[in-house]
Amino acid sequence: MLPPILEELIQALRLLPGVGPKSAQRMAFLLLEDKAGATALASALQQAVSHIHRCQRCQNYSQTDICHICQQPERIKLEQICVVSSPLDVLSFEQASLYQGSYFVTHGLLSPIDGIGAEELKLDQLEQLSKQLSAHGELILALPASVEGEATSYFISQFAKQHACKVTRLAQGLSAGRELANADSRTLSHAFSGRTQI
Amino acid sequence: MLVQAVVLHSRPYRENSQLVDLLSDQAGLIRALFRGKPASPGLTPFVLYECKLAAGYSDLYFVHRAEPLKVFPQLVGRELYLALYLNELTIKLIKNLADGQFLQGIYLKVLTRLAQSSERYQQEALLRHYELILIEELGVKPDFNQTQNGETILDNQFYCLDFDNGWLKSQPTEANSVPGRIVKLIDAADFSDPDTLKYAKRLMRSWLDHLLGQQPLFTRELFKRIKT
Repeated sequence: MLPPILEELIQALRLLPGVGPKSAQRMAFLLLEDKAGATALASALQQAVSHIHRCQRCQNYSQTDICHICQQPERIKLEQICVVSSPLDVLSFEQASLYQGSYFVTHGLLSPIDGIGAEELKLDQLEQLSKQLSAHGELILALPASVEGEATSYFISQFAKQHACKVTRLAQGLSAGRELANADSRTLSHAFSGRTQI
Repeated sequence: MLVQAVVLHSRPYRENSQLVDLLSDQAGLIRALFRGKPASPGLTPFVLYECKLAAGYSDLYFVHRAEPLKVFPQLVGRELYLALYLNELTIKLIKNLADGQFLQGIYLKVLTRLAQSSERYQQEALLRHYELILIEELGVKPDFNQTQNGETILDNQFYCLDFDNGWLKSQPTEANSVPGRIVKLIDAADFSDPDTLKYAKRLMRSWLDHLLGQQPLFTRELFKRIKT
């Protein structure tokens, strides 16, 4: 019913999270109505795909071989590496302005059943970075509180221990403003086991 | 259909949905689609749920409702890896949905004991027991009381397992030979003797490799890497 090129565009738009067939159709027609905007979007996409790649040190997305964070000697000198599973997590930390060290982005979590192992997450590279840390260095594990996050944290902590580097993880438990009765059992279990004296 | 099911694995599907592998009390291994609420953790492995299921496409079910019934003590570190091994093995070996119908009970028992004990000998014995039950459930476990020729297994004789046909008399020097006494102890899942556990580990490893064919077990690779 629709021209094949338009069908192809609609199909391509469905790649985006939360975009179903109807939303994709609306987006495609909107882009056709706004030719200048559509051209700018196509050009930006092309540029990003061609020029954004992973930082050779931390694996975060970068336009240069080494990203702007890893290029700052004062951040590297702090000898703190915060391990996150997604580039979005780096943004969250940076926006909160609470951390001045460097990062390592795993782009996923260990999941044996899905065939995702240490190689896919470049954990060998993280191990090399942890070897370069002194006894004062620290690996901060900021991975999701899921089974896969726990498996990945354990794997990293095992090799970090061999290199005598300190490993910490973010506190886990109830989120601010959330009612206890609404917490799921796993969250409650984390919060309970991590309770602190007041 | 109302079932009690433990989640073996979940993977995200689109934005708020999950594809889950459930080990149920009534229908063995079930693959199902679960649509969760935005930003909710969804169905979590190692939690036993009461699930209301509806038939979907082919072998795929839809989870209409899921209420947690039991959360196992939090599995961490090595114990978590052992539990992931159980899950990977179960999912990769059970192809036919009818298989695994009676597996849930032993799975939950092993999981509970893994979470309670960090004693390695005990953990290994639990894994061997589960592997044996899993193979039995697949219907490919031969008679451990007699050879494929119908001869009784004798304590002092050595035997080799032909995975497709059963036990055969062998020489002690042959690779993978097992004393008859140990064959019987493995069958009874009596791993109190360290020798039995050692023989069982070697036997189960090659037997599982045979059953898995070309499929690698990634949890084994992880164990090798963490050098525990």
